[in-house]
Amino acid sequence: MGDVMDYGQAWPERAPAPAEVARRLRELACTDGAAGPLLDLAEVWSTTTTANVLGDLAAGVALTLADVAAQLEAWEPRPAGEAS
Amino acid sequence: MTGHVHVHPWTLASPGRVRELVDRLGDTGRRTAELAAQCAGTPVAAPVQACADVVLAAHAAAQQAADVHRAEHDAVRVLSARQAGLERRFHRGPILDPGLRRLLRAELDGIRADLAARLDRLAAADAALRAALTAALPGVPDVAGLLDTPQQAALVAQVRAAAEAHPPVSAVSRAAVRDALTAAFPLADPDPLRGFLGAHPEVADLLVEPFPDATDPELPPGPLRDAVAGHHATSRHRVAAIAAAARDIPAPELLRLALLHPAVVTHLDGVPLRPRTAASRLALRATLTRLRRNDIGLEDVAMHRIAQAARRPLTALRDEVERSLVASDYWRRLVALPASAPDVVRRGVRLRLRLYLDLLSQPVGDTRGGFTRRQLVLFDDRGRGRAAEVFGVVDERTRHLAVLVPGTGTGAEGFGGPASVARRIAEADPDRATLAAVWMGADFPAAIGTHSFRPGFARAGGEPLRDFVGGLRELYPQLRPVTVIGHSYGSAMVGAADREGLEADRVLLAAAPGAGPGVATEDDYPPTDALGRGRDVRRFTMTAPGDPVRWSRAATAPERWWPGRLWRPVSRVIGRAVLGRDPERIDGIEVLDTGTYKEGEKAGQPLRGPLGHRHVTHEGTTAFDNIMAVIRARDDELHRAGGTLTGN
Repeated sequence: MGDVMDYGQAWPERAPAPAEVARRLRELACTDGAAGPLLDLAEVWSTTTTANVLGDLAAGVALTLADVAAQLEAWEPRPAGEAS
Repeated sequence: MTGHVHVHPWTLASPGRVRELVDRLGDTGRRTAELAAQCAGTPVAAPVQACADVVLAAHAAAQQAADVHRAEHDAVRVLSARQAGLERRFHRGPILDPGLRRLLRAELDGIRADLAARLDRLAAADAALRAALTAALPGVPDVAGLLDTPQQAALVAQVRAAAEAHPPVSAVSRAAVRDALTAAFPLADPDPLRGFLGAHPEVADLLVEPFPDATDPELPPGPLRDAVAGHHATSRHRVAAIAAAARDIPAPELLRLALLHPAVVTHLDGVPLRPRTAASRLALRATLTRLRRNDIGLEDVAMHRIAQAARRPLTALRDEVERSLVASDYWRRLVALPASAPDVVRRGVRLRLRLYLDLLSQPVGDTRGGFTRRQLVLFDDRGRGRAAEVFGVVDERTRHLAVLVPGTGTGAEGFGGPASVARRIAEADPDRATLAAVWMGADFPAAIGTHSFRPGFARAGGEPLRDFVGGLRELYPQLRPVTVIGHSYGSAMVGAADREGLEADRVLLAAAPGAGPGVATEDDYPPTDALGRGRDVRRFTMTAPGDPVRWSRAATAPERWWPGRLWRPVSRVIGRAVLGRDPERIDGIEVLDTGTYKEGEKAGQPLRGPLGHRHVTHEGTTAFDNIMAVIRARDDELHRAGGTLTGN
């Protein structure tokens, strides 16, 4: 990843750098973040179907955040104005 | 009169714990929303905000449920106990006093009505929570192609078309996908391909082979394929051939091979860590997609099973036994049954999910003051799972290599514990000179009572462990000493690998049930490695006083009670039949002292008993200091049995 300014209009200067956003998204994606409490609640509220929906939500949110992070990590700077 | 007291599962959960988790959920939702706000105007703001909305909706629903839970929890428990007491009173015999009988019956009826109403409120709260969560679920956004350029989007479409032209997913469709990717990304620089596959798990998923067939690997013709296909799957010669081939292949080309053949390369001992880690991470991400799919698919099975259990008492009984077993740490360690109740299977799925999400995203210290993604070098979800992870870095400061082999209960669901021990080993070296690995490249016994006495797991794991260590040795011949540490059953596996010519300079058997299947004396370990080169292995062992593993070792030492020449050969026969002889009774193996706790509330107390068995690899103990002294070849810091001795 290059300097924030390299990202042109697709990435405003005031936003944290893409690499920093990716790092924070990764933090939220692991079980210290979004997935942990949902999976832990699935353990304590162990009625089958509720636990299953909690587990599914945990996986859905965590994988989505991780995938956004992965896309940011692979994102190439692009000329200003190019649509993303 | 019925004696059965209905207890809603929520009444078993502590309201305080629920409140803590709900608060954590709210905190995570707010942090996610805060990040989305900071990213306003960027392409990621909307999906991150959508995730925040889902988490906050789940939090709001969970908060309402937690309020009902807290309000009803104590009352339900008190009323249930009182109801049970009254019912017992009626069961004991007739109450002769009609006034008292009427009074107690009225109280019982009142309690039943009150309890039924409260349980109804809990069930309604549970249903409302479930409905709210189900409603929130579709809010999880689809982020595929979020940051794609038009060219990347076109490539994804092309790759999908290539795969769909050869249904079902097969070697042919995977070859078509590889051809499309090979044409799109230049050979000289594999990093864009790595980024593309990391950002497109749906494409990576199309590349993952169901199982790497050693005789017909999906590898292109070339030295790596020749090395893999030319030898048996567990052969030290194959590891040497793979390492030689990898040395001949330019690094970018090797990384490209790893990215295009993730499920094959993750298994190849001898491949350098960078491409192997890249392959393992792709295999992990693809597994997460499949795991989620399986989890959802199990819902229908669960519903069917619940209906079935209502009609079949034996099925219901078996499901109940399984649930009781998994609910108890104690019983889970002692007994392992093949899980069949869908909710028990799904619990296992969620435990794997927890580990895999952390393996995918959790940062760890790199022992150089920075952070790195977890360095997963082996990953395979089949069976109880296969994994190996490395902690630390290899640079001019790195001098030692340590490989930890954990014990009973290790599986994909329990990998986190031993992985954190390996991480602490890497971090505890004051010179930051140790590269530490944790290895789970074979099936381990699942429970003490039903599995851990069997030598089959150790025998089956011996060659794969030998090859894993051999692969690291091929890659990093400069790292000395190479120490392999077995904990509990892992010691028997290390002993089995030692029997196969393990290329270790030092072996440490901690809390060992035996010195390895077939081992009665140190002469049972061969003097040469699997390539015929001489070995000079120094062996250590340590076990806490009162460690229950000593009971199992007693079977291999009957001469302890019946001294005499007659029993010596008998003990050898028994030693050969089970996990090997007690390593403390084998001449040539140095016995160390597990000592005391050095910190915490147990500071100064000796390690002993079942806790001593587990804590023998924990930091802050004399035993852990011994582990570090063996790894760092600091013999003057070893604590030997019979007193703290220094020097050799």
